[in-house]
Amino acid sequence: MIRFIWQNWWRRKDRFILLIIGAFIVSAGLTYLIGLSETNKGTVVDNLQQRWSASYDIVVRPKGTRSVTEDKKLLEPNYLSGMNGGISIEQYEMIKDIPGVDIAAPIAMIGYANYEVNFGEVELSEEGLYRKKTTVTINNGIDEEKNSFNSYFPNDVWDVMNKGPEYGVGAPILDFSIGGDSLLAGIDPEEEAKLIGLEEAIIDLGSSRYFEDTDGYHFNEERVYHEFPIIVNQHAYVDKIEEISFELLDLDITEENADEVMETVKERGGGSYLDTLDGELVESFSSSGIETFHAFVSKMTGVDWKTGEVHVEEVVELDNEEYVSPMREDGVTGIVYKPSPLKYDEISSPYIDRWPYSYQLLPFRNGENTVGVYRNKESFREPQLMAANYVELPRIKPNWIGFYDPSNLSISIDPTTELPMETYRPATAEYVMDSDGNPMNPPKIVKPTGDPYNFLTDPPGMLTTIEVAERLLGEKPISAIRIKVTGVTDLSEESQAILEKVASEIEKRTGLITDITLGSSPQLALTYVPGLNGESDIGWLQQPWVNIGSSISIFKETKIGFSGIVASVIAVAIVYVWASGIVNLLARRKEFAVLLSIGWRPSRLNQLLFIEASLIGLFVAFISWVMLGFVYISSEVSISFERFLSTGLFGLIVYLLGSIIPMIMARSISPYEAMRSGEISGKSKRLFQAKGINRMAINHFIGKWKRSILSVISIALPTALLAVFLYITFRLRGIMYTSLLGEYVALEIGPTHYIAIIVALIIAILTTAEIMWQNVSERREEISLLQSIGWKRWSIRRLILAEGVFSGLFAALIGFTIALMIIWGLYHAFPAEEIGFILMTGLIPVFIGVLGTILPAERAVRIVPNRGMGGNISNRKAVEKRLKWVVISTSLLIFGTFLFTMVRVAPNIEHANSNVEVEQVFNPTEGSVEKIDREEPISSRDESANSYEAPSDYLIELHTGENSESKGWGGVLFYEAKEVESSMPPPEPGMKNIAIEFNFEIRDTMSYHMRPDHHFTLIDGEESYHPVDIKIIETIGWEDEQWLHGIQDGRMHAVLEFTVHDSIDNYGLLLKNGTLGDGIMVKFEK
Amino acid sequence: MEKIECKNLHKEFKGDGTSTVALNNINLSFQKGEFTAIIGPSGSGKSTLLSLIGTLDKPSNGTLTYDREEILKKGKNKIADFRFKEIGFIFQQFHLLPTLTALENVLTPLFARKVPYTKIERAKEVLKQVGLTDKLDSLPSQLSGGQQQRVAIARAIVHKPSWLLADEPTGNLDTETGERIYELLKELNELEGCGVLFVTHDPVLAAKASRIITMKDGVVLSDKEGVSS
Repeated sequence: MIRFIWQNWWRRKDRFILLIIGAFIVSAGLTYLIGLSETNKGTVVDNLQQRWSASYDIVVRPKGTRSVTEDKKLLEPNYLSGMNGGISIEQYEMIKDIPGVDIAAPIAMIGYANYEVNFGEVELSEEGLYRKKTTVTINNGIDEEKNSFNSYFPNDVWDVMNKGPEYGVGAPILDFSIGGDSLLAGIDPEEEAKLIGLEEAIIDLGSSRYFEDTDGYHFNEERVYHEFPIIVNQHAYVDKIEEISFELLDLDITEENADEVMETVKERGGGSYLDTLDGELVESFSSSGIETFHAFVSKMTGVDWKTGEVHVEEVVELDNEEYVSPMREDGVTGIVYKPSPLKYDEISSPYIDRWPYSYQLLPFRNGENTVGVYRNKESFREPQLMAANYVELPRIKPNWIGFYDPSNLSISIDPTTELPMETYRPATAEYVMDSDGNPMNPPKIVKPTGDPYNFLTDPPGMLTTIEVAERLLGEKPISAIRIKVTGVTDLSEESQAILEKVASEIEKRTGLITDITLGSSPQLALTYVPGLNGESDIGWLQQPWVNIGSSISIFKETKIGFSGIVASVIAVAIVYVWASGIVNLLARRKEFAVLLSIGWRPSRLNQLLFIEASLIGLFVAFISWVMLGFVYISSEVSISFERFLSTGLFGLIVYLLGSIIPMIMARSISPYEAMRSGEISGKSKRLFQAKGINRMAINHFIGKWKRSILSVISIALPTALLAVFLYITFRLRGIMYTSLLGEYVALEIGPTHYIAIIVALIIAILTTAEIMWQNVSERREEISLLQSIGWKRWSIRRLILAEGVFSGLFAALIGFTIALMIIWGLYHAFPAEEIGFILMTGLIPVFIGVLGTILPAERAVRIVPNRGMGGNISNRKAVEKRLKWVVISTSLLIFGTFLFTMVRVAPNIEHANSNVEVEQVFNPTEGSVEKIDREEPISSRDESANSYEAPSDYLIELHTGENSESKGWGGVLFYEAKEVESSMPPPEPGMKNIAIEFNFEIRDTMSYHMRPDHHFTLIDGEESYHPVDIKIIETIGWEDEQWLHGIQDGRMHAVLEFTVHDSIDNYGLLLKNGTLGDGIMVKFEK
Repeated sequence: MEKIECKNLHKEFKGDGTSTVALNNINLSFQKGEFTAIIGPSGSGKSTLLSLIGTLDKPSNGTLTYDREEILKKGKNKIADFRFKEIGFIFQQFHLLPTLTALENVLTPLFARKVPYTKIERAKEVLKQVGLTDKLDSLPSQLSGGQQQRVAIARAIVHKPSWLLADEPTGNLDTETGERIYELLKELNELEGCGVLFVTHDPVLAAKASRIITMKDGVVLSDKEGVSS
């Protein structure tokens, strides 16, 4: 029997080669898709689950703490550091009791505690007037900020007692004391240890240890301070250098003339006069933030930071006693500032493709009543004091018990892959563009400055217990509770369901708000940071924000996308196997009839077909196993045994399934067919009268509609898939490129999907070829007849090719319909935007149809009228030998190529991960270097002018005669600009003057940065002009010629004069400052 | 098997809305050892009759009994077994399997059948009988028409059937070759004693048969003794 089958294959070599190629492609495709890329899919899911997971599943916050940014499901990084209180201990206990809550770790941001370290004292030998100069240099990552502060004191020459500040001098402060602020937060030691392994992160240094039950809070009634245990963050994140120097002023002052000299100093302006005097350096000391912190640590622990040796600091303490202020006594310090959140405003992104979300920081303007340093100044956050009066500020005595190293916590170490919601490190921010939109290359990493109300804040530097927080803050100390739920181990829909249940239970019982953080993804957002206090704007910062719930949706879509694609490729493979099986049967139908008529049992025919299918199936399985084995040996890819086994078995099963239809069809073969001659299918359908080649082809195509449908389906399926896949890719890119994770996934799975499609399409080519081959074989007589009646070879070729084209066209039509149906089914959306490329994919089936027909067509052309049947069936020795070589070498070639690609491709799968990420992390501004295109078609601008989210070049865009009211901005501000007669003298030849009169009126309480010379530009294409002259006609509430205040009904009416090139006709006036985002554009067109 | 009997045989083919009556009320019986020719113009139903007798097809009405047994009422595999045991077929187009050599073609009926003789020896024997000892390993495409038909005959008799049914066995051959094939059939009839039933257009060949059945439009016009008997 096997010999019979073998002869049947071997003596039809052309067909046999096709069969082998098909088997190779099916096995290679299956090997790749099932054997290898499944592992690939695994990494994607792993990444989703591990690398971008928060250490907690749900975060509970007090009501009313949602920021404007959360409308878009976006959470600011380290939002926890900006919250103060709102949840009571009672509510916390309630949450702990909710079934399913495994860990509930509260955090209470208490406030910023001062710390100060005394590095010794200056020795002053000479008498005279001294300057103590303190210079603080802070590197915030963008630039260095230097602030100096001078104080003056006399040494042994003049008594400063009872003297006013007008003399510019004070009592001597001789110490080198350097301090800082550190955020104090309360936690539940037990829960925190469970959640992030805080206990494990305690470093072994001296007596350093974690909280114990005996650590308690104590209120010292006598000296009025709170005493409590703290553990301290080992890291200091602020990059600052503080320098203290003492200088002897070049001023001739002695005990005798002191009064006289000081009177002169007073007359000349006191301190500001002294600032102008030169001095001779006596001694200076400098310390970086880290050194200061380490010194503080040493002092607190009595352990040397570097060596770990215990040392005694008695000397320093003795020295101190003379000068310590009450606040510093015995490590008693105070808490002044409370944390407060940032305020954002949505703006449209300047690069919507890269950063779909963009916000602007709204600085807080402090009034008269604010505390000293912030009085009448702007700050990024609203300063909030622990108490209204200085005396009521809590005095604390934090008792150091241990240090923790945040890098040893069981949270992700790499801040770029971590969900940026942790409280143990500062939020990452990159300075990517300056305020004019010029990209920074490379982008600069922004660092916290140590200022509690800066844009970036330090994470808590000291941790204490929730109990202490309650004592210090009152009844609602907890800012947020991070929750881990039992039974949630992976990122899946089941986990999501469990979390939703627990979250809604929490909301129901406590009335607090919850957010599910599992399945969230980091997302790059762009923030515009304005300059404070009249300084020029800082520019654009890029930060990974948290996109709540985005990765669960990506996860779902990836799953759909991937399993869908694999299933479809398998479907195409099955269709191919069916098609080839059916074609095989059709070709041998008569043969089978003869076999039946000479006494073969019908069951024997089925057996024959089954054995044939098994043989090819086993061959496919074998090839798959060999390929997998080879890949396994030659590269690092690990393949599980089940997967290895299933890959091969799958090929076998596909072929065995493929034999079912031919077997059923074989049942219907009647031995009587052997008696008949000529056309087998007597049921040819005809639609058109055969008048030309095309119509003849159509008739034939429709006549053999059953098999035509097979080839159409096998082409249509991958085509539809391709269209859907492209749509999903584009759609996913919409969600994806908005988040790091999505970008990663998009890059990761793209190639696999395309390979799958290519495999499917190659299989489709084979199917078409197979079917057309059969058609041509059956029409051998017809074709030789056509040749003998004088048809040209080209006409015959065209006849066959036309059939291929029809298959392709039909396939395109069906594929398109299927694609639309799938898209509709998945997204309930008609792909209006993407319709273009979906239609483009229609070219592919036509191409495939033609490609699959070329070989059969060539075969048809070679049918020579006088050559009889079976011309290609021979067993002559020479031919046999030659063909044997052809078959063997072809097989080897195909096999080798596949192995090569597999070996090359497989390791790349693994490597792709890191490469992609590296690119992401270090080169985020890639592709954003080009200038903002301001020349968009007008129509699209009109549409988007009223909508915040829609991509628009400007915040508001007006045309001649329009004002802000007509764009719906009337409630916020009024702005109009019109061209007037220029009053400037005629300019030089080739230039002309343009004068524009504008009215700007604030209608709410906002303050706007308004410097007409800087903020107005006349734009003509690439060219821009600044005003050459400004005539202010009227202005109200314009402070320092910089700030226009809404509270004071700020308004400005002025004429701007520009000198521009003669040729300019159409131009726009752009008003752009830090407060107006992309600015207001007024178009003047002639 | 000694006797084949047709009673009120009726056969019609149904196409798209039309139906063609191929056989109408045929009553015939055949004895083993007879050498019968069926003659008639195209479309007279002679091939249909042959296929019914050869159990290749089933009648629309009427009964066919083989030694009083209605084989056609049995399952397909049983019918196939019956064919294997009792009937050998020879076709006008020879219908050799193009991928198999002459010897292999002759062997095809014996595939997966248990027989009391050595298959290869038997195949070589029948090929010798038809005079093709030197063409054992030739593919059908390498043989002439007469040679191909002789291979077909060898295939038809390899399993020692009681009946040989031939559908215009000489139709695709020239007169001389046709004559030789005819002689071969005659020889088999006489030596092996199997009943031969053959369809032909050729009145000269038909006239040599022991029994001549003439058909037209699906009915038997005449059933008479031939010259040879």
